[in-house]
Amino acid sequence: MTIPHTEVGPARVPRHWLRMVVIWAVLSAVAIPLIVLVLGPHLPPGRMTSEAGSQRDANTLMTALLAPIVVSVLVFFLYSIVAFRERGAAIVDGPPLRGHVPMQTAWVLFTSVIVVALAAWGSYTLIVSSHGAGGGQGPDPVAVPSHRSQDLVVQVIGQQWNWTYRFPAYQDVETDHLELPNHSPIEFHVTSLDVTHSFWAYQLGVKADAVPGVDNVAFVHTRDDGNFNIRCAELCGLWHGHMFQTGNVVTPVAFKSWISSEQKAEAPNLRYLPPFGRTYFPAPFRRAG
Amino acid sequence: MTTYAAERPLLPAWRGLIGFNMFTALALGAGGWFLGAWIGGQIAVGNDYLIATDQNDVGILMGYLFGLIGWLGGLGFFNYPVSRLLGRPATVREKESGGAARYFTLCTDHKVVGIQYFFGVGIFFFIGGLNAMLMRTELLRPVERAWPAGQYLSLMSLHGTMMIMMTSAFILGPFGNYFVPLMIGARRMAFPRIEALTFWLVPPAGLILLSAIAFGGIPTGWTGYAPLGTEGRSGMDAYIFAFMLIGLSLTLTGINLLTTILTMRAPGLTWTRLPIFVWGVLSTSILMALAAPVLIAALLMELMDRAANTSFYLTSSGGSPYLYENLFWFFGHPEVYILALPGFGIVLEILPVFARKPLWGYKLAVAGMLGVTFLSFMVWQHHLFVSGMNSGLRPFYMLTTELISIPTGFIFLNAMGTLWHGRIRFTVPMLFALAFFFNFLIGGLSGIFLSDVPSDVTTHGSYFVMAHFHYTIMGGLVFAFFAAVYYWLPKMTGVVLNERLGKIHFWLMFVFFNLTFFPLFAAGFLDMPRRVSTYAPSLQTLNDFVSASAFVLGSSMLIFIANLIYSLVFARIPAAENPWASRGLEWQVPTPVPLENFERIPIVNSGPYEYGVEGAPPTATLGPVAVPAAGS
Amino acid sequence: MDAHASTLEDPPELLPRTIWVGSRVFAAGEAFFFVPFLFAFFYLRALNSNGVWRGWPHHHPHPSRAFGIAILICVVASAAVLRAAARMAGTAWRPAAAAAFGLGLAAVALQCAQFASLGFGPTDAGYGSVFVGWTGLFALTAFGTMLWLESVLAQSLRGSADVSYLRASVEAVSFSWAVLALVQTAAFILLYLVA
Repeated sequence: MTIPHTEVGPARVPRHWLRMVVIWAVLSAVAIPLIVLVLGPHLPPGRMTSEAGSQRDANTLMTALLAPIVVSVLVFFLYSIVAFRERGAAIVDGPPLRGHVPMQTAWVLFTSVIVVALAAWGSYTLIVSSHGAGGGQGPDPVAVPSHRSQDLVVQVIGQQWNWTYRFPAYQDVETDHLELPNHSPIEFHVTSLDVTHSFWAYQLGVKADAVPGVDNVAFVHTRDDGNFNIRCAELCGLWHGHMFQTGNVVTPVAFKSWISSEQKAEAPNLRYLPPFGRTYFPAPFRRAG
Repeated sequence: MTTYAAERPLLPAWRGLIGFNMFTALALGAGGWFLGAWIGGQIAVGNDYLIATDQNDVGILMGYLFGLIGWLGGLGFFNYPVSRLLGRPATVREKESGGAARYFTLCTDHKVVGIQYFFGVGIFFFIGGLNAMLMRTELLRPVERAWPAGQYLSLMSLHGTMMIMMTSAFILGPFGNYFVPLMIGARRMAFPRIEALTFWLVPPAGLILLSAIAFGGIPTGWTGYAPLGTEGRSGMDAYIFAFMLIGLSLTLTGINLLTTILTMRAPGLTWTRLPIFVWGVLSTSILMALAAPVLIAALLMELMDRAANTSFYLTSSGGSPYLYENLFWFFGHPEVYILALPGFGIVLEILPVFARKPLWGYKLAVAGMLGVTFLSFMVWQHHLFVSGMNSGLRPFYMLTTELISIPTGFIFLNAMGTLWHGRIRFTVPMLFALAFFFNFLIGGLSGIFLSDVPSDVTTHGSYFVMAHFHYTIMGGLVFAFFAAVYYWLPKMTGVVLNERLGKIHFWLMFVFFNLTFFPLFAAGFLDMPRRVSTYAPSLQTLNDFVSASAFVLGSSMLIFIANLIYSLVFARIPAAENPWASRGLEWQVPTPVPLENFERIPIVNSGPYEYGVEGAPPTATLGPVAVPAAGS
Repeated sequence: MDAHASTLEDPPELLPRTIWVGSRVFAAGEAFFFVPFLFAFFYLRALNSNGVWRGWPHHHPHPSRAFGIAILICVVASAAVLRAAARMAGTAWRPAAAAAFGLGLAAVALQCAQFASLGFGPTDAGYGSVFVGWTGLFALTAFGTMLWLESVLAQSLRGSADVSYLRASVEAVSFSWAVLALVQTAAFILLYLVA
């Protein structure tokens, strides 16, 4: 270690700061463009729906914003422990600095501003710009798209251990596979027949808990065609990890032909199904002792 | 101690096993289990469902209850309450003199309880860690190979529950009990018998939890979510009963420590001179005393749903799973700060000693801890952003959750200010303390993703969450725990720990901890849900890498155990009274610490971090210079 | 105290002070234990899952209000008497505390009697669950508090503890019991009147 620190002259202090700021600025200047331009387009969950896009934007922005903060703290720590390391055997006391009110105040103000700005921006995205960002909003959603009546309503029914889908606009047909038309507003109504599941359509940016007796609504607006993964994101018992399906976003024409073939195939089964409802109440499970 | 042994009449060795001690307790506990299970079986006679399914929850719960009563009775916990009911005098202490046998019985010496906690909790922590190794073995392959799905689920739930149960008392148990009285200049805790009880509830809780394996396992993970937990097999009863015992232990620990710190500080130990670790313990105790009772009530409701046919959590009968989720996380979020705050206290306690500087911004550190304590009661619904409850309140919970990063940031500022121009020595405790900040930085900032609802929709319920809380709990709490172990064990045991092995342990643990958990952020981003025994084949390379790192991480614990055995059993190099030249009051007493801690109640003259201050008086006057002022 | 402690006595006012502070923290913990039941009442009532919060379509539980009032009176009177007893001079607190003890036990006994003739049970949907859970656990807690009070009375009657300790103990029990009386008042208003 070349930095002599037996005497801490006042002239030394600004140089420590200068070095750290330069290291920080260089690292941040490298990291931020890399995150936004290189990592950003790979961050989840993609842009298959506008809600997924807003989630990717949120992930990108937060990674880019947190990178300089991480770098600043790490640079400070690493610089300090390298520059102020004591190698001698003797135990020598350092200068008795107890605090620095302007710096503490600045830190409090700085972190507060960042935090409040993040919360404000997050609330804006959630409520205004992306209609709940694909998350489940419960039976009475607060962030509703303006033309809700044109939505394609899809009821997602979680059960141990599969997902099924009912389409009230198509004679309540129930399918075990999900296809969606592209460039359309979709309204998922997620519920469960037994325990709590969580409907997670990864590329669509949808995650909504399937709770028995609850109609959990999530909105998305699909964009281009593609395949998406459907998983369960809430532990639901033995085969939780196997609640996996793939769905497709297809053209409206392809969707129409798929749903009508499903209607034909499922027509004989329809009379065994309970009437369409927002929730279903199978007989209560009791352990009886 | 030697004189005590000589006074006793010579008896055959086996006679020592009879009396109020752990062995009697084990025998009576086992007997109680069978009695209770038999009574429960008699209650169930004639119930077709129970006979058909062999799932008699009442029988199992009665077994646990009677077993617990037998265990506590065998340890002698009922002697005092009964003598009180008969009007005999109140006493404070019990069985404080005696040799090694004290460690296996109800002993009210806070130093004995500290050691009991260290080994007791350590054993269960090791079992929880073994579970993690078995889980990572399964995850070497994308489909179930090593364990069937049900066994994996049980392993996962046991790992989570065991770790949360045991790490809740990981720092407050061993170090809070041992060092808080020493740091505040007291001779004992406020309620020593309750202190002993808090420890002796831990072994039955751990054993009962492990017994779940015999009754069908736990299907729910550590959260025990309601409809799944209600219909789970009898192993769930073990989960509920064990977690309730831990809840009781935490509540009592909180009450005891809070009362001790509020009433038993030595004269001169003003609030601004209080060691920062004690502040951490104080804020944790507030959380324990208030949050843990909520857990007990929530679990009692689940227990009644299973055993008494109530419908608190049954939607179709007027209950709601949301009720459990709310109550559980109302406990659960303070719980994660019960885990984090003692860690903050320890690292801020250790940094000044090895940077040889006063703690920078002491009042800000206190404000940070109290701020976290206060805010932690208002954030619980951030675990439920996509659950469909109260979606209009999500911006509020987003704000409160993000606000917590402000007081947490204070702790980082304190550390940075303390290191600045310090004379930093890289001892083993200092390495662990510095690693704490690296890990907690990543853990804390990944929490910002989870607090932002749009981002949380991506990451909720995925491996991202799992990586996040392992960074804060393992990277935070467990690293702080090891910092405390290497810092304080010389005082507790009177023996030096081997430094070379300590450094090997640190570097292995630090490097492979990060190699294990950092890739899991990516696994979460790449659509891998938590708590699965199967995953996308494309993620196999990632998971194999993680498993390999996890095995090395696990074996670093073996190095620690080897170090412990080598240093405590074989090398036995006596520790100096104050090997780190610390100003802390706990280092001013002799090693080993005498039974009464202090000959006289010390008079505190200055704060514990006056390093480099010209003319700072010694931390405390321990000798007989003046008649101690009454009280504090 | 053990023999070896006698040379290193605690300062005399320490024990009363720890009892005072400890009882406050304990009472706070107790209150937080009952908060989930209060919360469950409002939450399940507001959600009214499946429309059966208040009971099954043809079976609405109605606990006897006479029992409810009797239990409430016993608990509140006992707490008030004990609170007053804690402030009395000399040994005058003893008969008052004994009366509070009797009233408290009477409340527990009445609660058990009510369970024997309840007319509904834990299976009766949301309300039935909250009623049985809340009142049952309250009775257990009340019984525990009465045991605590009995131990203080017994020590006082046997003269086996010094006055400052006994006074602090009575005060501590009375505070904890007063908090429980508040809990019972809330339980009465919600479970019997609001329902």
